[in-house]
Amino acid sequence: MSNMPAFLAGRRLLRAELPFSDDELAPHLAAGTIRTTPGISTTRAERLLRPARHFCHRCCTTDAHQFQPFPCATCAAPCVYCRNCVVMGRVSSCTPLYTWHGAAPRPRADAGACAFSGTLTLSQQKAADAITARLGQASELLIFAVCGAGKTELLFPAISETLAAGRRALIATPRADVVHELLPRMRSAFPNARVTGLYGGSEDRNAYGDLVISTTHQLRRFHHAFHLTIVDEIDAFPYTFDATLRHAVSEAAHPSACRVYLTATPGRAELARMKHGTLDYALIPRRFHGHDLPELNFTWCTGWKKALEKQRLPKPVAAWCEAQLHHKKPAMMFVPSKTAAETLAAMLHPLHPAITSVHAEDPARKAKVEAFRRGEIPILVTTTILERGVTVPGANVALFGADDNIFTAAAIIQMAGRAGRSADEPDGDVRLFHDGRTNAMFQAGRYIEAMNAGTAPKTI
Amino acid sequence: MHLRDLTATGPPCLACHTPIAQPVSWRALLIPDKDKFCHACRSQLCLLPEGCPGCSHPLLPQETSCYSCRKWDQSLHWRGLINQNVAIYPYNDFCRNLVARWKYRGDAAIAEGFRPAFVKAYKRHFPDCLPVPIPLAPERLLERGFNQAEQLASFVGEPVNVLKRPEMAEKQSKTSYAGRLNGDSRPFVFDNHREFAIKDRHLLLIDDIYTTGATVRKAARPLLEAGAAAVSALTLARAVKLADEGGFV
Repeated sequence: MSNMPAFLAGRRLLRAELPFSDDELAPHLAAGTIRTTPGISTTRAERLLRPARHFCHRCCTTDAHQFQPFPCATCAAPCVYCRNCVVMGRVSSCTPLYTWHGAAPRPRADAGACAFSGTLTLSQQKAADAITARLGQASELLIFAVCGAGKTELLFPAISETLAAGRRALIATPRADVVHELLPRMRSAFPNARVTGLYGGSEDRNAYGDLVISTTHQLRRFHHAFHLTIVDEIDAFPYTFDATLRHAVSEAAHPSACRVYLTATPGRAELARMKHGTLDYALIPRRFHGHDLPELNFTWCTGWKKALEKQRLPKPVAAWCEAQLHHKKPAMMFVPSKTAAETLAAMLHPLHPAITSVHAEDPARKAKVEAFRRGEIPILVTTTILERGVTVPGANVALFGADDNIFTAAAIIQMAGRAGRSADEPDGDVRLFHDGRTNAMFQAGRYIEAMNAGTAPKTI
Repeated sequence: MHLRDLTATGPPCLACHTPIAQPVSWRALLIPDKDKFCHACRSQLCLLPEGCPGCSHPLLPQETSCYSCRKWDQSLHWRGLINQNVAIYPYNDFCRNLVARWKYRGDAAIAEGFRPAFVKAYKRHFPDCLPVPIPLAPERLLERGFNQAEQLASFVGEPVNVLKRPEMAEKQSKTSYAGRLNGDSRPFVFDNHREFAIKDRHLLLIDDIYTTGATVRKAARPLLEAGAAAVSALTLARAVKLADEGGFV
């Protein structure tokens, strides 16, 4: 079977996921080009108080609650399966995982040809050089870049060099919409490479890719495949909360891979490692157009909680919204909760009939965001779900009730990062309507000041 | 850390994976709630009210038995094969989702969540019956790894595997209502060596879902021919049809 290496190379799959017959697999198993490893390994129970512990080799979970016994029809022995990754096909004690150890397909010699013709800014170039200097050695690098710094472009040299060396590259992200956004850009930048996009239900699921753009969940099917792994938005949900996803990324990387992390707001763990010098980082304090980040503007809005309850629109908010409508500026209004989004949108409705709200469970969420991008919605009232990824040129941003706990410093920085993204309109208004300043607001302000001064902020 | 975080450290809910919160009370400390589903999921998994004596389908006020049971009784070919079917849950969207994860995704642990209600229904309606799980075709058993009906049967006693399903018949859930009523097919055969096990006993067929009732009736025929005194059925869920709707929901 000629396409078996392309199908299996760098992956770790269940028997049910292999579209080959037993007769086709048998010679490879005998020759050792395909090897099997147990899906779940179990330690022996030692004492009464220390029961047997299990480890799932696909999702790397060790949580005892996730391992459940079941009456297995294939083996008579006591069989447990992993509930953490059961939606990807059940892995049980008697299920082997198949890996490929033969000659693997490589990117074509000209796969590294990059069609990107723009130039990088000085700090972008510095960061790009920092990645390429680490290629080929087991290393880590954090790219600490402000929102709108042009993180995608600075990856091109490193990806190009990796593909030209006949090795595979990976861009992983916690969010499927980022995969959708990056895929066409990468396909046009690398016209000679096989670029595949993986997310739940994607059509490229079984295709071989030189450059793979994937959600972190899908990486559970990969094993030691990539010599360059880039993780976008390492501080985004659910990557930060789910240790098994971080494990999946590290399992997908080759042992000698260069691992690159991108973020505008590193988490506490990363900041600590940067401070202690155990994590190298490259700082990009300026946007690609070279202008400052918009400063935060604070406006008192006393009693906004009560105003929401009584369905009264606070005066400063009304004035700000009217100004946006008057100047025909698209605006995003972030609010702390779903009910606040709906109430505020209803109160703003008299100003303009197209003003609407969006939240995570909204079935029309995608359509509303698209309409906002096209300029059909002048003011979009949203919960924190749109803090990342939505870029509308010339947009202004407001945070309603900015002293709420949900607005962490990182969230405020990401939301403020929606303003002033385009080179034509680099200034944007970021307005925080609050009832007393919180630490998070001060920290976000200090972050923006530090970045505009060209230095790395110490805390976030 | 909040007090509620301390109380929410139990095992996760089988359906939604969030830790099950125990109320902060002496009762919860001394007699912890052993429910495998959290409160929110449990409330979506409501029990069927008292309905048709033949199949547990909800009845209109003036009815004494449901349309589908009347239809079965009108047919000479099908009449009297099973005494009654008892179902526990209505096969609503939540239940459908849960059963799909359990059966098709292979999340076998979900069955544990059904155990208390299943055992209770068995003790109440069929305390002395022998549980006979509806078998799977061998190909399907290999594909799925376990028989969900046998799992349910093992909750109420040692399953009596006296039925076989020889070759892959067309999936019941993929055939139409009219196709299922076609009485000629005999998908189940009796395992000839074990007639002594069921002679003059009241048998209880165990299955996951009762939709039209054709499966349990087809399974009851070889059992009665082999000498069983009577056959009833206990199923986890019952597909429910409202009077003004065209099809089963």
